[in-house]
Amino acid sequence: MNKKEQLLIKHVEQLNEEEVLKLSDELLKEGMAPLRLLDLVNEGMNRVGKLYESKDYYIADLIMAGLIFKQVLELDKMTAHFRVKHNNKIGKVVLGTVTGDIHDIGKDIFRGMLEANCFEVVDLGVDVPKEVFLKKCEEYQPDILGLSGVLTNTVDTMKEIVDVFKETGVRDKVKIIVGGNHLTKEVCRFIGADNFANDASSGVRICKKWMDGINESERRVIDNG
Amino acid sequence: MNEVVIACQTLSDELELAMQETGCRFPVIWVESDYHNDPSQLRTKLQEEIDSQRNIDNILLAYGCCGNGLVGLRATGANLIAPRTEDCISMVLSQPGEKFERLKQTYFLTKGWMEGSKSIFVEYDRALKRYGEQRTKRLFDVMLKHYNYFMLIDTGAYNPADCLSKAEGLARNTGLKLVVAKGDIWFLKKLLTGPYDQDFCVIPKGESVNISHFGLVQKELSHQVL
Repeated sequence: MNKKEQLLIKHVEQLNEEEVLKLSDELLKEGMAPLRLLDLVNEGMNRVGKLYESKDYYIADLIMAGLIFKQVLELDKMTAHFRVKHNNKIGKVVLGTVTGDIHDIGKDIFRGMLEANCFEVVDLGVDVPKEVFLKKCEEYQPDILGLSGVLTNTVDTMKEIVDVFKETGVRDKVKIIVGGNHLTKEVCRFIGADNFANDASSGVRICKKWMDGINESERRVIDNG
Repeated sequence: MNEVVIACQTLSDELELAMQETGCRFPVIWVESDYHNDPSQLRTKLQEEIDSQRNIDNILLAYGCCGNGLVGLRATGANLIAPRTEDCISMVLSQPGEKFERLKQTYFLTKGWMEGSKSIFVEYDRALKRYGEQRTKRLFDVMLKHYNYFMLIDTGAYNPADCLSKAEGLARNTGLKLVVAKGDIWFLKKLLTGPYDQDFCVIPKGESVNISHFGLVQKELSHQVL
């Protein structure tokens, strides 16, 4: 890794908004591949996450990291790259904060990271009722449904949503990931989701792994067909 | 019976008043309110405190489910008793026998909450220092974009007038409206006195807290009275 690359990671880690955008633009103009730039920014974001965990950073810092990340994705060369790649999306995710809850900082970071990782995301916003999740999944036929929440009672709500998918016979058509720092393995099992994430990066890792599996089995079907 | 209370610092005014009004002066182990942001760390911290108790029959937890921070706790040396409620907001705003409905678009405040080392006031002041006024406004526009109100809960355990100007200042800076609502400490008083009926999770010594204890499933099975 050269010095400029290291510096970019450092600027993201230290949440230096202007410097990140300036250096990112410079690196792209020098010919850096957008995906490489994304890797570097992701590394900086991971470090921000660690600093939050260690209590050095605050919620406002996570939001700043999200704003910086979003602006990097909006740089001309980045949008051009992802527009060209539009037909090469690796999967589709319907996402929302469940009814009764309006927290969306984690959800928005998750959404940004999914988009940066070539997912198509349909974000339903906050306080989304189970009927809307069901309707939008019927409409968009996503590979993955993401349910987000922070409040304790969202566990109940998430379970109700999974249950309605079961009752209507569409549960097996979609992988369900639940996200929030109150979720544990036991709670995930209770909800009936396929997996859970306490932070955006691990959520994205899970979704990518799922899509590897789904896309691989689709390839096999085509090869054998 | 030997009792000890493990309590979140956020509820210090309310618990003090509850002890005063009930005359139940049990020893209290205070836990920093910072754990609010991380249920896993809260669980670890509470377990350490639970495990370190000796010759105690009942450990009274002045906590709600708190982001499932209590789920998984083991009653290693004594029974665990905790209010069956979501968190400290539902604890002070709910009424006995009534289902608590959380107001939407509302950011709740109490004096204890405002004094926390990671409170929204600390967040705001730190953001101003680090990012300046303009960026702080951007950050708080994002942070509070789904909120319309700050609600200062008058629990009766402190003088709301002492918090008003600070709360009004933040409301002004963030474009939210400040309202004051009446709260109550009945839950904490009942935690101290009992009876430990359907309002409480009771985990007998040797067992663990699971999600059913907080009423998420099979309410009737998890209900025990000591």
